[in-house]
Amino acid sequence: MPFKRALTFSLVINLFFLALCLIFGDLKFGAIDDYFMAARLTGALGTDYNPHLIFVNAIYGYALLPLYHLFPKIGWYYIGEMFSVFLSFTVIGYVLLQRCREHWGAILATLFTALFASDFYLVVQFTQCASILSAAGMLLFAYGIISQDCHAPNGARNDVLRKVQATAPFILGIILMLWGSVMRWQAFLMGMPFFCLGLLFILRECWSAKWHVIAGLVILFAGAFGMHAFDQNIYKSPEYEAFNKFQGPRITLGDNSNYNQNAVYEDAEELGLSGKDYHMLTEWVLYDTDVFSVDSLKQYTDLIPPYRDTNPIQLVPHNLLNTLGNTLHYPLFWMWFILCLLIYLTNRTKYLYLWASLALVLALIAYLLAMGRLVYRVESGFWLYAATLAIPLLGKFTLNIPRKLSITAIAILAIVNIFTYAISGEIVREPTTGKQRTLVVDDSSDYAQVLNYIDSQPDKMFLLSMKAFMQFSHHRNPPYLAEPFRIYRNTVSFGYWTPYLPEVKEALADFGIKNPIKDVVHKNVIVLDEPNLIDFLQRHYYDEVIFDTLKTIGKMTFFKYRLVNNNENKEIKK
Amino acid sequence: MKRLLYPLIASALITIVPFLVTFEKGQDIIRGLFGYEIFGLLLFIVLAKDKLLSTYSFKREFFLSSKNIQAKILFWLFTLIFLIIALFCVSWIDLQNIFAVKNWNTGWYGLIPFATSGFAIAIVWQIKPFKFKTICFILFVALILHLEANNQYATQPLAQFPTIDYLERIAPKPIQRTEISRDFHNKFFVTDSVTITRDFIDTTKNNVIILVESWGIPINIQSFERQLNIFGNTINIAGIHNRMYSRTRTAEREDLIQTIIRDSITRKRDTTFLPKTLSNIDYKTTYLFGGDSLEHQRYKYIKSIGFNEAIYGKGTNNSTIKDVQVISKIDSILANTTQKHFIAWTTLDTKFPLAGFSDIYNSNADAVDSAYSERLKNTLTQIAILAQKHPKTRIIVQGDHNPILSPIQFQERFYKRWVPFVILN
Repeated sequence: MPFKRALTFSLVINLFFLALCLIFGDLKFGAIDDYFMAARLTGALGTDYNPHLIFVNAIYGYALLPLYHLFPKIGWYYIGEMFSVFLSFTVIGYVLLQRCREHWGAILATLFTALFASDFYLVVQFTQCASILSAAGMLLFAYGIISQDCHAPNGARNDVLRKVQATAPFILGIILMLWGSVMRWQAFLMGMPFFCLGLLFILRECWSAKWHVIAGLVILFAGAFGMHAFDQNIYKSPEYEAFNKFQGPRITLGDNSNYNQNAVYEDAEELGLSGKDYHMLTEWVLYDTDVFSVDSLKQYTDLIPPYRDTNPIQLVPHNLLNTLGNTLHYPLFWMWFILCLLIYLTNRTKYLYLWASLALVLALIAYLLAMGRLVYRVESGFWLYAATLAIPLLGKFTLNIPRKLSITAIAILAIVNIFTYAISGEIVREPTTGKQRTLVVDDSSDYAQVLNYIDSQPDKMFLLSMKAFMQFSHHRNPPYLAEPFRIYRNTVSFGYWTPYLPEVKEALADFGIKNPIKDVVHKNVIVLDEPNLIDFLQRHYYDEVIFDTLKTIGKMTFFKYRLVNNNENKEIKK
Repeated sequence: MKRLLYPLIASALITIVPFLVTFEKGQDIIRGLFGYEIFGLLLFIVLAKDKLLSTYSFKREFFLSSKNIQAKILFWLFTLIFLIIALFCVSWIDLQNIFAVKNWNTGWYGLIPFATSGFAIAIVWQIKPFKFKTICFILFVALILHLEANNQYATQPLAQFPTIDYLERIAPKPIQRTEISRDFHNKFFVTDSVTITRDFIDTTKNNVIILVESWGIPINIQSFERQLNIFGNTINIAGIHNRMYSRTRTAEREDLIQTIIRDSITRKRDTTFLPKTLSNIDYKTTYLFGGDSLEHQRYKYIKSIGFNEAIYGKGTNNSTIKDVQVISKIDSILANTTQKHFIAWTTLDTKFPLAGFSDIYNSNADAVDSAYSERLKNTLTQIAILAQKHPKTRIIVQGDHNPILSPIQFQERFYKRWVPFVILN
């Protein structure tokens, strides 16, 4: 199939699905992490653009900076992610069209995008972006290898053009993979086993294109590791020291729940620590630089390992079977299955890929299950890798279907999709559990009022619960618009990964706050949605603290904590 | 079609026969129709048999006896034997899985797998084999088909996975620590009640309430009996009672509660504690603790419980008071016979982490056990001596919680959330 025709087909198919998602879907980030990384990039947390994105490589931030300077109102972070998904789908569609010819290719490309689109466009998320970029890059790389084999020597005619044509998939593939590694290093690494498996199945073709392959892999790994090292280096600077030290305990206490929390609570009490403090830590109320300093957090985190859930090895097959059964509910699983069937039907010599790719996915799932961290956004990546790398193994489709049939099939797919998106465009899969949920936020509070209240008092510092902070992500600007500078300057969360960020520390210092939880009694501090601090404050810092309720808007309440009898400086010993 | 149908029927035979033979009315065992591994093994047996025979006839036809051919024949022969043995094993495991659920003994049923497997091999013996890759494909599709069907109709799975079920069955299970065993019920008074102190307090006598730190119920009943023997004939009643939490502070408060009244409108709780009630009838109430008053903020809540006096260790010289010293203190308080006494004491010697074991969780469980048992024995012995010395004093001894904050292996030697109580004199 000619290059232009295949590309046009793929573009049309993918534009169709992009349009469906844009029209019927609710445009949001799939993860609140993305929202706050974008906010950090646009200077909403601080006072100027900050390309250091914590979980995404800073190179992505630096690459977007010129765009932000040109069009500061636009949310380029989001646009970049959406574009990366679109680009990857288009590449995959293109290769499918090239491999399977026009009729079959068009059906498969449509099906592929149809089964994956909702998970990737409507809950766009850096981990998934990394998976799909890497998958598309790997596919293109593999496609480069196999197509080099088929247009072998053909005279000197158009020699240069031919060379460029032969090299282009490698170059673009490497660029996509590198971009994937930038979006999330771990997701890129998790694709590597699949990449190896895919190349193993086309080993003979790899051999005939050995110089391209070797050079490509060298560039890929040098580039990926170089960029990763560059990014890691940024956070070695002293301004991130407190932030870095805080990450380990934060993840152990806040993110992980695969242990007996009750036992840890009781052991903490027995040890003379406070069970209530431990409870606050698991509820993400942890921005207290004295009581919850990193060293004292260690006392709590040390209690956790003995109580971690045991994963007896004998249960692994059983758990895997259950997980696999559950995976069948996800549309993207079926794309992998269909491609596996097609491999068997068209290229029987590669039949082992069916079991090999399944075994690889299951092995990686078993690894995540053992850590207690199997989440949908990662699992979906595995199936995506397995499905995408099945494409180069497809053989020739001997059964030709008539043009009419192919058009009918695509039309049916299109209509069914228009219908489903129209009635349930807001239903997406939760990136963590994979369960279906609606994008509509279930909170009747009028956040416009809440935000107004905050914005109207720029001289006050608002310290808030992580829940409130996360809710803001749905109620400030939509993702395609940039958050303006300083918008979060006077809202600091007690939890989340923002504590100890350099600009957050600066903001606190600007308001004269040394220790957020302790200093909630300061005159210029208002607390939002956290009414449970009195006990903590009285246990550790003050004789008697009370709060006044300033304003309640829906579920959100503003509190003013204050000391009783003006004994502000009379602290009890700890 | 036969090539697929016969192995299916044969695998169903192996899977269903033991189920039907052992069927009881009202049993609730969900079971697949076809043994997945069995189905796979049968397909491979047919393939191996065919390979063996064709190699053998090839050799006979051409009178070849090269080493290569010999090796091939041997290879297929061993493969076939291996597969058949595997089939018998899986069928056997499958039967055992059913019996594990039903808690039956094998008995003559042990013959079933051999009969059914033999019969199954006979069924498939004559059919033509699939190619290796086709078998792989069939098994691949069959797995996904089973899973999808199972998602739709969970009540009747298509396939059964005997080996996976077996592995699940033999996986180490957590030790049962929540339900007190029959033996204990037969010998001791076992109760859910948390009002032991209130129920057994004797207002005609002096009362000493002792909360023994980390005194739990050993799963081994003999070691519990040994502990009780220490008290000899001073024991009035001995039993076991439940605690909601494993926390010393909760136990301390819980044991001293007289009444809790919940206001029907404000839903606020108002708790009356025993020391208050007893001081009203002219008892002198004293609280003793060998450790620091700051620990668990006792200085606050012991005060609010309403004791006349609270005595703490960790005075000026910054050292705790040993249990034996507190006992002599109690002894001296009781020596004052001019008035009635109510004394509450929380022991300290058996508090974890024990001195000498710097690593809380990774110390040797046996070493921790013997150190703990030694300390506990000492404290209990001192209490027994006190009880003998003051036969007119009611002494109520309870555990605060089972040992925690110690190596898991050691913690698992005790029931969870159950503690002893002993009423002396």
